[in-house]
Amino acid sequence: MGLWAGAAMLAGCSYKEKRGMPDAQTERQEAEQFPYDEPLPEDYEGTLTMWGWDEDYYRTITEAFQKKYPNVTFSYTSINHGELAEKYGTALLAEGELPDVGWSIIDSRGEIFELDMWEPLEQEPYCFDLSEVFDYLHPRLVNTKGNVCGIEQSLSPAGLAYRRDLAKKYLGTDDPEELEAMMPDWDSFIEKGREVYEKSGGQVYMCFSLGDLRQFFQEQQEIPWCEGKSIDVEKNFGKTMDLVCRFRDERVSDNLVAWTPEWNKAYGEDNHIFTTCAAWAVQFTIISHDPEGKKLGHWGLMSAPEGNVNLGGTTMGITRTCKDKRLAWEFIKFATLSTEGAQALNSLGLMTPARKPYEECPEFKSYKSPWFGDQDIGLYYMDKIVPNIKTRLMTPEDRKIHDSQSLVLNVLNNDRTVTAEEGINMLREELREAFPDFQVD
Amino acid sequence: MERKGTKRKHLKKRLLWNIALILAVSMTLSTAFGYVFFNKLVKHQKLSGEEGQLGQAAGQLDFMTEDIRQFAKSILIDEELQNLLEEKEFDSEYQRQRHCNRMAKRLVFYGNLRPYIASTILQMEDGRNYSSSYLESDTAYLEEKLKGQEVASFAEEDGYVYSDPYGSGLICYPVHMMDKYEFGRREGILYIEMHLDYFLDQVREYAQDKEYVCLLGNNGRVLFEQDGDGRLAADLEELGEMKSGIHKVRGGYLILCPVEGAGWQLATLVTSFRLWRMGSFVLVFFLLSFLFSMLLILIFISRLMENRIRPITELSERMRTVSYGRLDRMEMEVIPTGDEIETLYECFGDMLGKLRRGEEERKRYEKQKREMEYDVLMSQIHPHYLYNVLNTVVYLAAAGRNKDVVKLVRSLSCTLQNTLNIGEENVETTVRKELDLTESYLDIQRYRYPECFSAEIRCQEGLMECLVPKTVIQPLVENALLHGILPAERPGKILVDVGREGEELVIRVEDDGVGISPENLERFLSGEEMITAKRERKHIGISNVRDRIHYLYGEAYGMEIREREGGGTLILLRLPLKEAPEKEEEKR
Repeated sequence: MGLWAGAAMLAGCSYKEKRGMPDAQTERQEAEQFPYDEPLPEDYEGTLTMWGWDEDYYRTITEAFQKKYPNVTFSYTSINHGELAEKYGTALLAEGELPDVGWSIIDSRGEIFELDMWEPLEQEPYCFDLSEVFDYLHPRLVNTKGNVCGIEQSLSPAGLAYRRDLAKKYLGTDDPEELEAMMPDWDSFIEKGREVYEKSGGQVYMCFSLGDLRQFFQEQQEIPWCEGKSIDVEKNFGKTMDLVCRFRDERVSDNLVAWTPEWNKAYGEDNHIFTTCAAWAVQFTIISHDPEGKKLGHWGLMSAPEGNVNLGGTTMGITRTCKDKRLAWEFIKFATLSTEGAQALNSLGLMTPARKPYEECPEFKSYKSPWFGDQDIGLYYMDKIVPNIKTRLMTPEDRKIHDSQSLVLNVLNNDRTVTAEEGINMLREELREAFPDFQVD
Repeated sequence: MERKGTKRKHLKKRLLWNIALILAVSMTLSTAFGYVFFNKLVKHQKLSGEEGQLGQAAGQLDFMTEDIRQFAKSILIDEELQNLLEEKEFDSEYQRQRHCNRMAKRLVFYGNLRPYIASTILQMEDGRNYSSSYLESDTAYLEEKLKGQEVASFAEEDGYVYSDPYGSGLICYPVHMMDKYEFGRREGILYIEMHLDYFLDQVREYAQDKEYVCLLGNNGRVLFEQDGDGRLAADLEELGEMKSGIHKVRGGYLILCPVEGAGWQLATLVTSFRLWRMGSFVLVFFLLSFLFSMLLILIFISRLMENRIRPITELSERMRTVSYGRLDRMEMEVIPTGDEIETLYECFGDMLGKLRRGEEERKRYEKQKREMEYDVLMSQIHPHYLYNVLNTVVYLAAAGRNKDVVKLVRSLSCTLQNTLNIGEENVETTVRKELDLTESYLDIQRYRYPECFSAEIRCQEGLMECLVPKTVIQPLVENALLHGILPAERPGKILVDVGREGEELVIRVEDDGVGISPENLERFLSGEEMITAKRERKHIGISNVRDRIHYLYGEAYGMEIREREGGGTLILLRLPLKEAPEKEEEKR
């Protein structure tokens, strides 16, 4: 009898292990043993798995967490964030393994948050209160049902980073305020860009790639890309398309493809002055790809023409298959809401999305990097960009729309004869194919 | 015999020490031999085990590479992908980009089926390049990447199956896509870029409890290294040829195992110290079993010997007690061991019984002797007797019978001299002296009891110098006077006759008094003390004389007492015929 009971128990265990679904009773017991609103014991043991694309962030934040909880280990799988939605989708469809802590990048977040794989963090036992983070982030943390599916790893305010030496050489000044005054809108920026290109004999561009600019322009629109089952291509993407074509045609921007090694390499060269720069890009792009910049300190940060935006951003949430949700929540709280987490972020030049750490330690707003000389870029982001930041509502269709825009952009990049209007038509065609039951105008 | 004062070792301890020593030496030797043999065996087994584990880890990697190979082939034969590859001419850049995008999506689709795949690149012989990362497709970067030496070497080197072309934690596996319409013509190469960690997780798992582990990629590139002090790298370099198997190197063993499918080598170094540590349980086992066996055997032997030796120890203690003369405290109980010890006990018991009886005999004798001497002394110096004698002396002196006084005092003096001279050396006297004493006594009694009795003393010639126990005749005469004649209240006669019957001296004391009562005669015959009718004073009784004769000469000699024919009592003493030493000297 006992043997049968044992066998049944084992069979039950193996099934749960296979599905990776902890039962409700176990979770209740865990919650009772380790209340979610109190810290875990320091000798707590556990392992968390993650799929990610930012090893600097992962290493820094997990090492800080392990200082507090030395018996916790992490398993990290590096993936391409562009394939995130497919990877999660495949795992869900095929009963594959999901990470314990799921990352979600802004490009595909709208779609990923609709997948039934997230613990609702606003509910018990997590009871996360959105007011703990900056207001402008709120719409970006919830799905269409209103469930909080993740919390931002860091704030992603974006302005324009620029090469001080090149700005001074080609624009006459390296002072951010003077540059902002010189180029209050994209028209004046294009104008100056044409001059720089000509002045440099076709060697120096204002920008690196049309890809980053397209995304920046698009975020400046502050309009959701899709409303219900309707997409107004002209209204939503017309200005962006127009600006992209002008930047291309006027030689204001190079045609490097964003995120390719070539594009990365260009940051260490002297052929481009401006780049869109979110807070995370300081470490991820500039510091990583411009090794000489450390001693030269030749970068500066300024507000973009026509306003700054939130660019990119990654949330961390708890998947439903997480084997230790209590630990996962402790880690996410530590990484996104705690003062210790904020300190670890600050060492990377990142800014915590939570309000409280700034109240406790106002110095977390400050961040100086040798690449930016004496400029306090932390304060610049927090005081000049965040208060007036432009955001748009995300939608589940964002990823496909984003991919379609990328495709058209590649066409624009490779065929300079393609006009903005043609581009809009291509985009419309792509979207109609991607969303056959949508009204695409 | 007096015991020496030195402290003696206990028999059990001595035996135990000797056994322990012999055991320790023999077991140490056998343990050492056993350890050397088993350690060698275990060392061999451990090395084989290590080789097996390494082979298992390599086999796991091999299985993974085979899985990837099969997966890569399934990508190549994908119908949709093949159809897309058929599209070579495009009306516009937009169409070409769409084509690239669809190719990328198809490659991504396959990539998502294997979480360890970072990206896939398809390099066509006609110059087209596709990547699962759509943005990378058709870029100069991709072209440059595919021209890289490591990647390019895939095409030429069969051994370069899996390699680490960028040194960035990504490895690459190429699979050729052949033209089905032209046999042997390569149409393209599919490169699958994978996270090295996918393989290294297996190696790490294997390396968890190892000191030195190394995964060597193509061309000797180190893909994983757990080599704290660089010993493994040095040994590999020294070894030169990467031949699989176990190789003896300085300070340990180098084990190599190929990962066949990948063209890699998995290596581990098992140091001699680690090997010893792995086999240290053998030492611990032998040490523990040695100690445990020793302890167990000693305890067992100790208990066994305790049971065996306890009777000897107890016997020894009892003997010691006996030697200290404490026989009375001895409780002799035979411990039934059924062997020589039991015999020892029985013999000792017998001996002890004899000793105890002898001791009791001696004590009784001593006591009797003391009592008799005391009785003799007390009888002779009885104050009342002296008082009466002295009153008689006073009476005679007052009557002016000086000669009688002199005679009486001389008799008293003679009596005292003979009776007070007692002790170990003076238990016997001559018949002459004994008769003189009797005569002196009778002289004194004649003054006390005039006309009451007459006495005759006769001695056969030649017997006057014979030895007799002291004070044996006088008490009998006294007894005849006081308990035979005086109670008759008429004049009586006492006859003392010393004669010889063969080798015996026979002394007869007769009186014609009231005779002996049947009760006293019965008591005498049963060896008990006789009762006097009037115990006016203690006297040396008949029983005393009898006992002394028995004591001095044994049961063969003694006293007879019977009714005398014609009334009165006849006492007959039978003694050995012994002459005084002076007489013997003279005879010689």
